[in-house]
Amino acid sequence: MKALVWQGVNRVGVETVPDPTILQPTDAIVRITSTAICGSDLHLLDGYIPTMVHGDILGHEFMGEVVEVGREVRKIQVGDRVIVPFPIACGHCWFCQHDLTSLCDNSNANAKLAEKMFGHAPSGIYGYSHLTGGYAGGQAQFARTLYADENLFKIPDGLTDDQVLFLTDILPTGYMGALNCDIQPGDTVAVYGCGPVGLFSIMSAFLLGAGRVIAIDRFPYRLAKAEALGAEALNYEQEEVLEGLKLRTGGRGPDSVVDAVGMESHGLGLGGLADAVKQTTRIAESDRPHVLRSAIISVRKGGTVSVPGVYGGFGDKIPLGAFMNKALTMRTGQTHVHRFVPRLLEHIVKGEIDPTVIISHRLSLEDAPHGYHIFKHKEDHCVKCVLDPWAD
Amino acid sequence: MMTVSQFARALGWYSVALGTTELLAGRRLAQVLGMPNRTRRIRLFGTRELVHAALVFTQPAIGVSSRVIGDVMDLASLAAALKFEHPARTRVGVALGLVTATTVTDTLCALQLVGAGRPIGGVSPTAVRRNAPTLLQLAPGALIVVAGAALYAMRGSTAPLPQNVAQRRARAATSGIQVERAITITRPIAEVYAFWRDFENLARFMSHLESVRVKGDRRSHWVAKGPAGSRVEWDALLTEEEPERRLAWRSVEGSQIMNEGRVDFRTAPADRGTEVRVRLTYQPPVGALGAAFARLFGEEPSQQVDEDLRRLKRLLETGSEPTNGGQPSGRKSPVTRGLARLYDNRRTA
Repeated sequence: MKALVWQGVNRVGVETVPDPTILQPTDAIVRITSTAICGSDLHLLDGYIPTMVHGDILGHEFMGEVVEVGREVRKIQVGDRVIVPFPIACGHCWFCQHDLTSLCDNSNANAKLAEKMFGHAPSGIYGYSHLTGGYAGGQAQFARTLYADENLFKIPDGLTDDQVLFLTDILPTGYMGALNCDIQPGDTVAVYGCGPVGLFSIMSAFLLGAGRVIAIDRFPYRLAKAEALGAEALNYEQEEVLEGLKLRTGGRGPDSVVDAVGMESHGLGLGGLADAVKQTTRIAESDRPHVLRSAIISVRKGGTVSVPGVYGGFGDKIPLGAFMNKALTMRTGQTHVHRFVPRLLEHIVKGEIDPTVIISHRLSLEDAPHGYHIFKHKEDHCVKCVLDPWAD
Repeated sequence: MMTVSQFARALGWYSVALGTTELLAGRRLAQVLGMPNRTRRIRLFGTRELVHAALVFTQPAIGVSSRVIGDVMDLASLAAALKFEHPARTRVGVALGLVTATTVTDTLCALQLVGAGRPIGGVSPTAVRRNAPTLLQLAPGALIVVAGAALYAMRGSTAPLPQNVAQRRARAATSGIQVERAITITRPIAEVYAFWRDFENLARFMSHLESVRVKGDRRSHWVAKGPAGSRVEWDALLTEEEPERRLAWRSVEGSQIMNEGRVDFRTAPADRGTEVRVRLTYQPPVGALGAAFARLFGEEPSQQVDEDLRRLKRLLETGSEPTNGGQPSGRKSPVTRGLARLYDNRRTA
């Protein structure tokens, strides 16, 4: 089959690799009909997530048709049209039983490795480094999925791939980002980053009762997308964020903020340069936490900082003084996708959320390297690339 | 500019300073270098330094040459102390650096003093008055830098040893392996206890075991993987049995590898299942077999037991361990395959 393969820092390519097979009786093989490039794939491309190896198949946002199931799979059958959440849930551990599937105790085959870095191991994730299990990803024509009964969600007829594909990651991620803000009716929410997750956070914030959403980015075309969803735009290259947010909120600051950017945020001035240099060394600092710093400084006293953006290692100079003295709350985590799929599916069916508005590019799998390029460099007004693994 | 003879006198004063220090502060110096039982040797070396000084002031060429010989003795003593488990390795290393720099300086100076073709001890008069060559001119500066680095490295020398050094020392001191680890398994305590009580199950999750066969009510026969495909076998006796609370066992007298184990079970709070806390002690025999057996546990025996307990948890909670072995990848070279294997845990239950 054809698959997108990590070939080293800043290099991905489409290669012919062996087809996946059932390796354990709870597995299922999915013939992928749609897959997407995620913002967090860019951290892999840029080489900031450790334990990537040449030849790893990327991709953790994919859906398709079940073509083979292991002998212990009961609920899923060949022919089912399914989406595959990016975190892998075993379904049996305490975390899975409590809808915290991205913290699953049992699905990470390399838990030892992750424990060394994080103290405790998070769940396995498809196509996302050996730290999260080293599982082959879904930017390919086929994928092997684990614990099929617990992970594959059947999609009702009448919904297109575009409508449901983002249920695998970014839609629940944006939703959990907003949910973690603990929005009270009429609250003002600031969202850093108007990429796919930021845009879904904006949609979700309104859905959860926010009165106003202020969207922060530096690309006018992305800010325009946010405005189209009802948010107010703040371009941080033209306006200082803290002052801009104070002006818009009567000096109070937003009630909560969402960091939908993560470890490769862009800072301005000398501080930004210092972090960029330190991160390049991989040793002095692995994460560039500009957004996190700004979020802590600009959120109102007693407010909430929600972090769906991915961090991988260590960041410097987090303003802990502001965090403590302003009595802030921080909530974060990889998304517990399984918990949110049913309710988000309902929102989609009812037409309350239209996930397709963020799609800017449709490419064949062969063109995926180009997709990575324009997505990373924000060229051609790229917001989200959807890939068709079977197109020529 | 410094002449060669001035330079030689400076080296003489170096000997005076070092010799006095070694004589008067021998005990402290020995402690700093992590060799407290070498105080006498350090004092002897101090006396030797004073002899060097006396020679340098009277017979410069012989004196400086004798310093070179002394340097070599210092180098040998320090190098002998530079073992992996030496607690003050860094400090010894720095001292080695200082002595090495001194040796180079002494040698250069001695070569200048002893003119080519002249008998040892005969000082070339021109050499004495001649300005020292550039290399020698730079030597004092270099020596001061190295000495500064040495002092810096030895600062706070009474502070406790770094923890990793202390741990390494402790591990070297005890020949046995003792590990205590805990895990929570989301299954009822009765099930977890029953699984463990059937000792034959232990080989399903303890990676160093090949098999356990129950021979009677309290006796079982254990087979562990030994070095190079061999096996180590012993009989164990159940020594404690408190249903749903505790199990303990011990190898019978005269076993090749004396070992004992204890596991405590406790219901975890709320609906979290069962807490399992395990303590294993192995006393491998001295010698090659014991060393090889210890190696099976890897560098970090506790990590090995962590992995074993995780395997038990996965076995009981999901029936198996997840694997990524056998899935497709774009790897073509053995190097990248090896790297991926390094990261991936290929063991399956």
